[in-house]
Amino acid sequence: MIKLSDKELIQIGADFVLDALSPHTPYGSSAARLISPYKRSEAAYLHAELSNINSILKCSGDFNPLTAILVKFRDIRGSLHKLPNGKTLSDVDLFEIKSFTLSLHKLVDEFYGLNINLQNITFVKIPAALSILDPDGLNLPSFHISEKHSIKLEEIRSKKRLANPPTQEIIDEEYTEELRIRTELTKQLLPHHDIFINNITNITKLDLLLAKATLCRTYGCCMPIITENTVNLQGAYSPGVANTLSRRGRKFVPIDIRLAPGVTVITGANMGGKSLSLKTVALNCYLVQCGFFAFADEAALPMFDNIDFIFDDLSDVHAGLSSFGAEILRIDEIITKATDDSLSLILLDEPAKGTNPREGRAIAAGLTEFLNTLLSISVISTHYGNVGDKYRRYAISGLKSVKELQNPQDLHDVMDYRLIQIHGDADIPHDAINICKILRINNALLRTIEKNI
Amino acid sequence: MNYPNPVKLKELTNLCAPFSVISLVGLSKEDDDAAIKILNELIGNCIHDGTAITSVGCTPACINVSPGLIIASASGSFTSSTYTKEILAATGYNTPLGEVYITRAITGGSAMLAGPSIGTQLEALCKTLLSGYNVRQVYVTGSGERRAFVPSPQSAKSGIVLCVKSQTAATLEKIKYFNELVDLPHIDTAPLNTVFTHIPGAFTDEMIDYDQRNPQIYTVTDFTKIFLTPKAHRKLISRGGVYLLNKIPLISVICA
Repeated sequence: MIKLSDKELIQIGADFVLDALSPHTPYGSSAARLISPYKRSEAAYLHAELSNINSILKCSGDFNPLTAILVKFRDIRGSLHKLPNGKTLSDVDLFEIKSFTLSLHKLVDEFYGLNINLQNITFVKIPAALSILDPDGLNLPSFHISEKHSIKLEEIRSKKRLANPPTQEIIDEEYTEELRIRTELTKQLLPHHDIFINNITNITKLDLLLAKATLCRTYGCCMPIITENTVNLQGAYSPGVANTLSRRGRKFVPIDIRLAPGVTVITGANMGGKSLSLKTVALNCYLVQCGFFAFADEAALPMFDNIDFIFDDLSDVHAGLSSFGAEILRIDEIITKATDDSLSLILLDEPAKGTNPREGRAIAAGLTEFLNTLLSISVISTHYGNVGDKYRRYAISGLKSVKELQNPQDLHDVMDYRLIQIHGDADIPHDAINICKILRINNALLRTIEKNI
Repeated sequence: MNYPNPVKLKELTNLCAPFSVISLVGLSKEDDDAAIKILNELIGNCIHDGTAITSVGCTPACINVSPGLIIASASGSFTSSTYTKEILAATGYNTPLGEVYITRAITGGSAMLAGPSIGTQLEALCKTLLSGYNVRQVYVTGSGERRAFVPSPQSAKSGIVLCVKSQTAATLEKIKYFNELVDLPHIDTAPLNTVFTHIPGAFTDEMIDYDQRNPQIYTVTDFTKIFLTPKAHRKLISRGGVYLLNKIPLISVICA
């Protein structure tokens, strides 16, 4: 089961997407906070979810009236919870249930009027519940304990109207009779409890689908194809990063990448976007499995049992582990999870970079070789040469021919962030010294570095 | 206006007639009882169709309501109220006593008031009552030390009834200062090319910068945002002044 921590969600940029999701009902809002990936055994539900979003996007009907109704729904789960527990509903509970029922009836008319077929979503009107709460049949959103419920109440209220101010005896009489009526209404509503809950479940689903569809329209997402065990992302991007770049007047360079069981190695210049490419893959795989469309022009992805990655320094002072020690233990943990009967997505950003280059290269090479024997889809980014010669390789295009920059911030303008597939034993780009030159570091230092190459 | 003599309660109804939001404000916690008493008198004297009442936070006493009156109060106050209520709408404004609901009295009885304790919510509630429930006048009562919650005249024609419990020398001094604040000049009367420092929220003594040699001229949204001590205020007036963006009329000062 895939479960990413809040920190991991932030690392891959999923927090931006989840925050951008704007459901209209309290039910949708609470469900949005609990969004998690479907398990592989729940593939049918994922297919239904994606198909439903597609149906909404293709529907020519006007969703604004439906949205206007959704906005009016309030959370009545607390009131409904009292029904099976035998607690008497208060005036406010009855008011809220009546308002909900009226809004539900409007929603049913509007939803079925759109002629949209959404899988696993059906709504049922509850006219019997409405007539319990609205004995006058006025269909008004207000509520009071009507005198139509009891002749005795009518008599008490007549007395109350004549007495000014009402005596304590009349007030007590009215309270007792109202309490009896509320208890009776509670009993009458109990048989409808499950229908209310089913409708709330479907309102939640519809609300989330509409929110996801809105996100798709905003960001131009594509419907993904669910594959057995291959990844094909064309024009993929991370909306959070794209948004940040756009505010600075820059554009995100989308990535194209194909992955299959075994290992894929990404190499490239420093600051070339290797980590971001890995994060973009992780983000899209995670979100699609959560029932979102992919942030890409084209996407074909499998459902994973595990999504594991290492992007940052994992040093844990409290556990007495250095960054290298923590990284190795985490790799061991990831590999142990990647069994033969499961499909893992493993993304490792520059593994073993924290130790000496000779052993680091050996560890990276060994890790790559080992991951290639697994059925999982693994992607490793590395600076170590010859680590990935035998495997599927991608490289960041790297620096364009530029001598030096006036402003180090302009490095983005001379970097080609595209991901290019490399065939054969082509050498990996060596741009570190070039970047030092472009960034105009101290000349003496630069000469000394070049002497040591 | 100068400090007026207390007017009779019946005349107060006529004085309030041109206003759509009337805030009954005390000068101290002791004056809350006076505000409640005056509100009861006003409610007893006016036509109930088209009238609504609410409060700033929870009031310490009950209001006697008659059929047709609109009451905005938190759900937790319902058990302490004896009027027969029709719940008209939920407001979404939460208070320590639960969410504020708009209700209509079907029969008379007493109502414990517990309205929003956030100024913007109170203002929005008054607007909702005036626009959505055929209400002509909203009466707002509340704690005297929270006069900043008087709804701004930007959304409705509002006025203040200052309620006091006694006419001691100290109270008269406070009323005098209150009137000075009400009578502060509107920004339109300021000389041309005056440079102002605008205080967007509450204006307190700590915000005055006496070290500067230039005249200290401030603007505030309305006088209810001024929480200066009389001493600081008078010193400030002598070195510059305070101008109001909005004037809220003082309808009357009344002792009950």
